[in-house]
Amino acid sequence: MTKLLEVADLRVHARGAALLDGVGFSLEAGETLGVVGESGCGKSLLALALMGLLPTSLTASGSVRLDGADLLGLAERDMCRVRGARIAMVFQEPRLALNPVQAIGRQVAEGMRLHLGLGRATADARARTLLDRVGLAAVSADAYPHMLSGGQLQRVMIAVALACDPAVLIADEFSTALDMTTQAQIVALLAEVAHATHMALMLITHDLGLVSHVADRTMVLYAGRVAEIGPTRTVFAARLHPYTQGLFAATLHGTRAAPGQMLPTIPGQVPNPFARPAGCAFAPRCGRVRADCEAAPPALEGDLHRVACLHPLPVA
Amino acid sequence: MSGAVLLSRSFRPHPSLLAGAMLLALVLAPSLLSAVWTPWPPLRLDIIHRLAPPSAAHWLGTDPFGRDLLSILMVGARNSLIVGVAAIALAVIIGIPAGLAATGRGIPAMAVSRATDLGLAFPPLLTAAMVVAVYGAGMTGTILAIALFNVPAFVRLTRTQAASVLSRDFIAAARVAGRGRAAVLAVHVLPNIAGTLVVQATLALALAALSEAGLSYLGLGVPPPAPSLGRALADYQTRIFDDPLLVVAPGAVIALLVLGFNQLGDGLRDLLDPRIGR
Amino acid sequence: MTELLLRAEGLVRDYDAVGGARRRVLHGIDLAVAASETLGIIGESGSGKSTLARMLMGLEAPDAGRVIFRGVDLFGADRAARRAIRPQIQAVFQDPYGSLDPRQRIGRIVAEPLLASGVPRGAREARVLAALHAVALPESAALRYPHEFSGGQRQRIAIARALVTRPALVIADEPVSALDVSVQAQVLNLMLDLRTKLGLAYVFISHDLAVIRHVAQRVLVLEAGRVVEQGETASLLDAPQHPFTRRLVAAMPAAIAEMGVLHER
Repeated sequence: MTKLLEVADLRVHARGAALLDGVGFSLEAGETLGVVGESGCGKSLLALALMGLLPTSLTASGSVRLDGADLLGLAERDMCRVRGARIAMVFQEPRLALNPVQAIGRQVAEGMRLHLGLGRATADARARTLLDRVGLAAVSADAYPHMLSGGQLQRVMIAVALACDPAVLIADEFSTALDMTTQAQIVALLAEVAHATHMALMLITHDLGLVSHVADRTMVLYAGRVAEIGPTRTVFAARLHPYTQGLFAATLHGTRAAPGQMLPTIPGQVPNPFARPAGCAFAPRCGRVRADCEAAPPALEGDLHRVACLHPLPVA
Repeated sequence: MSGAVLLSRSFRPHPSLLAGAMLLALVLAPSLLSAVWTPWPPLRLDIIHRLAPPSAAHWLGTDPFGRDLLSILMVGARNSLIVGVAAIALAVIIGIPAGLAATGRGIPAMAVSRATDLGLAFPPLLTAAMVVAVYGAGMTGTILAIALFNVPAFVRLTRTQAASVLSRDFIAAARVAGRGRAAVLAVHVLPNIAGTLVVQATLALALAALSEAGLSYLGLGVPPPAPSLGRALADYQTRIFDDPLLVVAPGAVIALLVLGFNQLGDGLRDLLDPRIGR
Repeated sequence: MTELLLRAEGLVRDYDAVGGARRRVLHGIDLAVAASETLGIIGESGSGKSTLARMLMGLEAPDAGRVIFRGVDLFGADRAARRAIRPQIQAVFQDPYGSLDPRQRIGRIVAEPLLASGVPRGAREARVLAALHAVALPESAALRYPHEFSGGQRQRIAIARALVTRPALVIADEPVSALDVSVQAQVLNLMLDLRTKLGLAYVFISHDLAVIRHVAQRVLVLEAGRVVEQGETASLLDAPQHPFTRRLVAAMPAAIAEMGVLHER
């Protein structure tokens, strides 16, 4: 059975450095994948590469297949037909992603008119339905973005993304700018809609708590490579890669660290993409490093739960 | 993401910057030279050789009074540059501090803002004509006129740029550190807006050169017999079909000046802007 | 009896909103901070916490009410008195990319509070280096520019700047919110360590209850410009009284290690 989305050996280059260095994973219809990583891991570039929205100075290589068809090789004009219709994206800052001088109803309808060729009245009616669906029944379709709160704008963005019933939805740091009380609601909405429409959801975030609530599988990225990937339950329980373990330990939400006590931290910092170590990118910061770690980057090993480490943590 | 975006900028010398610099050099070199040497004294009459075509003796030919066209253009360009640079320098010296002062909250700030709005309401050429009518024609009058109608633009630009820098956290940090308002403006705001102001000044120079030519053309600029590009156009325009070079040459020099400054400004803008901020 | 460092009484602030009406952002806030204590202020967007932060830093004057630091009215006292206490209240801001002047070298940035209080040059250099050392940055950092550092490093620089005058109180406005998880932990550890070593008092403002729980002994809950609940952090979080506090506590993700995965199909 072909997966809905298959990414293999995806690399993104910039003047000699590989910002994404051989990322591979798959996504099935109706599945939610959590992509976890910190600054410099390349997670936002991953989203842009899948959407074909990389800046022109960066080049992508490898393969990205949607329903078997390669996306990387597509001409821009063909990619435009895919974007919005088959793969959609929601962003971190709704105030920057939505047009401030266009009513929200129109913005939701725009994609439908473009990709589905619907007439104005039909599109507007469907836009109204979508706005209701995302919890904005009380808000007029003629409202402008500046009249709405951050949480409401995120809901509008979801409506815009869903307008053409995409097969895959990518959410890049989607709830980071929201208040804590709103974050949970919005992400729950997204997960619920994805589940109901059998849509694949790729949730890019640094927030482990969020991932634990909604993701079927989790992928941990470090310095442009996949460190660990597998069912969320097992990744969270086993935490085989030392980076995953370090990340969990450092998260306030992940530990019942006593107030006022020092948190366990990962020494050092993420390497500059232009100055990555020859072997495993995490080696300089790893407490379990051995000589063979510095020889070559470890490959992803494993079956359902895979890890790229020569000396992963023992399963507890 | 910001890392990736930074990487996507390449560091080649900007084409506009080079083009602008070269065009200006084309005009700058001869005009600077004219301070010490011109092929012929520009005011020297030589009626016998009037309206001569270009030759070894007169590279661009002569005008209706036998004066060497090249020498006239060299000195005329020099005058244009002097007027332009002096006028913009004056506008900057007055405009930038006024713009910084206008970011305050008291009465002086309001007064500066209202005065600027008033200044911007007047058409530039009208302002120039008024100044010249009061002050009299001549280099000083022209410089004052052009400076005057440039001041409001610099005040306004400085004020808006400064206002946007003032809203950033490092300004609050400076005030928490104990810096007074004036110190914050001088130490933190000015260096961060300098790039934009330099670009604006360069583009203003282009317009200033054009304004000088325009004023001289209308007879309001540098008075005869001093060579002037604009007045040359006015004097020779009736001969455009008989001796086109007389009109094309001064026009071309004006165009080179304006184009050169514009390209320089564009190149500077692209060069400086990405460095400001993250 | 620990000294009372900061006292705020009846702080009110109004803004001119679009359409001519005046909008009240703070409705009479009272608070107090004792020496070496960390007071947490939790609020969401629109709660007025940023305005309150600026008032406590002495940057924005209230329309009514007073902020008193060691007996000196931050906005009402004469210039000399305000100047004298300025070095004792310092601040750390949220955005590591916006709180350092991109055009200045680190050494100059960290030295700025000393410049304003007239410390002579030799002493300044020594204190800057000591401050950089305290935040675990090398001496060579003083010669470099902000853009050469990561977000976490820039926050350390901002903390070094806040420490250089040996203040009694540091107002921290969302100091770790813009940082990655593992970097947050590093910076929080640093702030806790400095608290122990230097006896610093903090006013720690955040929208993240987990962070507040970790650093603050007492907490003030701010909603729409009003203090709706306050008290000792542990007891407030165990038994929140006000509905808003309850919502905040409920939104705190439970410890991941405990729950495994909540998601069910």
